[in-house]
Amino acid sequence: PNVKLVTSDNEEFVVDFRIAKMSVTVSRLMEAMNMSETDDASLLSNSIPLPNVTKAVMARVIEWCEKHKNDEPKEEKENDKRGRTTHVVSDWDKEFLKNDEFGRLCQLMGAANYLEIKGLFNDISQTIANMIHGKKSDEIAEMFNIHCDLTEAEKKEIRKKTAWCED
Amino acid sequence: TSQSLAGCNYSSLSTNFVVPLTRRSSRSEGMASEEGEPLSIMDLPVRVTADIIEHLDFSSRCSIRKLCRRFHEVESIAKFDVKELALCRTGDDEFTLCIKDRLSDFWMLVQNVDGEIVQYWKDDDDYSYKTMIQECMNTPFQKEETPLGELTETLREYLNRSTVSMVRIEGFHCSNESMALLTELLRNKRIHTLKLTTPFSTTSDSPLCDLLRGCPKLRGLSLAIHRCTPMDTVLEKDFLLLAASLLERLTIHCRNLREPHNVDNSEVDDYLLMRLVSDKCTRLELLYYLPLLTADGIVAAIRHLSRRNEPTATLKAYFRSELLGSVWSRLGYLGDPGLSNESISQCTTKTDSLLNRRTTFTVKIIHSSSREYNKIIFVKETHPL
Repeated sequence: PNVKLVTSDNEEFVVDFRIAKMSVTVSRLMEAMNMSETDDASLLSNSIPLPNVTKAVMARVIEWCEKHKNDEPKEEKENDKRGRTTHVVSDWDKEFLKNDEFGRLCQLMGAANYLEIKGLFNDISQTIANMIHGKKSDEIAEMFNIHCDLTEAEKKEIRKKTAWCED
Repeated sequence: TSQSLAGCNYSSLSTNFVVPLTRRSSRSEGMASEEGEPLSIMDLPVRVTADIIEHLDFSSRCSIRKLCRRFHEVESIAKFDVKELALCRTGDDEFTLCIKDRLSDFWMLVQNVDGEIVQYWKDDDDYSYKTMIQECMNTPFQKEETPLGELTETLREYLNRSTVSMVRIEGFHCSNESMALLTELLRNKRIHTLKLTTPFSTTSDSPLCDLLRGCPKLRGLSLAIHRCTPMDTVLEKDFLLLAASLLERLTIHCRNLREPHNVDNSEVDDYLLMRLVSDKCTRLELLYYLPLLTADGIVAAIRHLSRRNEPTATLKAYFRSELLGSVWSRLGYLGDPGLSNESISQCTTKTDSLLNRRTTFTVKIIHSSSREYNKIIFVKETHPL
């Protein structure tokens, strides 16, 4: 069975039911609209509006979901001695994300957050963290085009508190 | 969203100034941009940006703080990923709080008792850290309690904003009242291991039981009872049974066994030992003198542990030296145990081709310098073939 998803720019995407279910947000909406896998009529007569996702971003999200639709669900291991572990981005995912310029990556992350697709969200989050890791403030600011709005007094206070990790 | 910040008290942690979040555009957080217009990292929802920061080590987080106000504030709500949180008493009436970064394995001194935030790198091998712990071990604690003072709030805040695997508390005097505070601080935190090196003056073991019940995620407890603990302290049967039923690893250690031992050890007999090794706990270390144990009881506990389905198991205990020969003969040891002055051991290996694994059972007995007691160590280990 297929599910129809409609983006903010009125583009309709018809996706496999399994792919639609990868998004917690879409799952909840389908439930609210009484759409079920066994009820073809409900799937044909309804479409899921996604006003926070554009056509271009939706296409990328679906591409990622297609690749991961058969993945085993990752269960949290209660007995794991570690707390949060570093998320390992697979080679396919690295390749998938590497050509996205930073703004597009943020768009995709915003969509993964809105659609609640945990795997994609973690992939992008770790990818951006990897870009930041080991860089100095000015390098990060330049990379992300961030203008510093801290006052001199605030900067001084922060420098004082972070002196321990300066080179 | 910015609403999610409302419930977070982050002003006292790493920043002294709190300002409202600034918006760079009129778009709502998390909304899509118009076609072709890329989003900036500044447009991501606060929680999303915090998630990115949570993937960074402490050093990178310092760089983030200096970027701009928004990042400064988001950093201060992003959770710490902490391998170990250590609260140590380092001298008279002084405590120090340190956290160890999981990603970099470096220590950060969070706050001392004077309320100073003195942060700097320390790793495991750092001389200062080792010295600090050593000082704590050697501190002759007063019988009176030492309140944590304002460190209580800092500890509370760090426990609330961190994912902590292990908590180590050294020298925090455990009375009924202070144990209640500790239980409240640790309640429902996702802590896997708790190590307490403390003098106790609790009137019963019920505060320890409350602590165990309050931390359902706890898998391991290490209790090192400091020599300043009053002589009449008892580790009660109910506490031991509860710990063995809830935990995978339980270690109880009395410091300086050569001195008159300070835990009433008349609770652990053969029957109780068998009950303790028959529950959830598969690593049981009772490192204090156990005069009621017999050779039959010790060997029965070892046999029972070796037959359990778990791939690993450990039992450590002190038993009366006069039982040495009986213990070895019941274990089927063929050598002469009297030949060694320090330690003797025997090892058995079973290979299970069907399960494609090899299991090794090792029993080692170490002669104690007290001559009255020996220490037995049984270890079961399973390896793939």
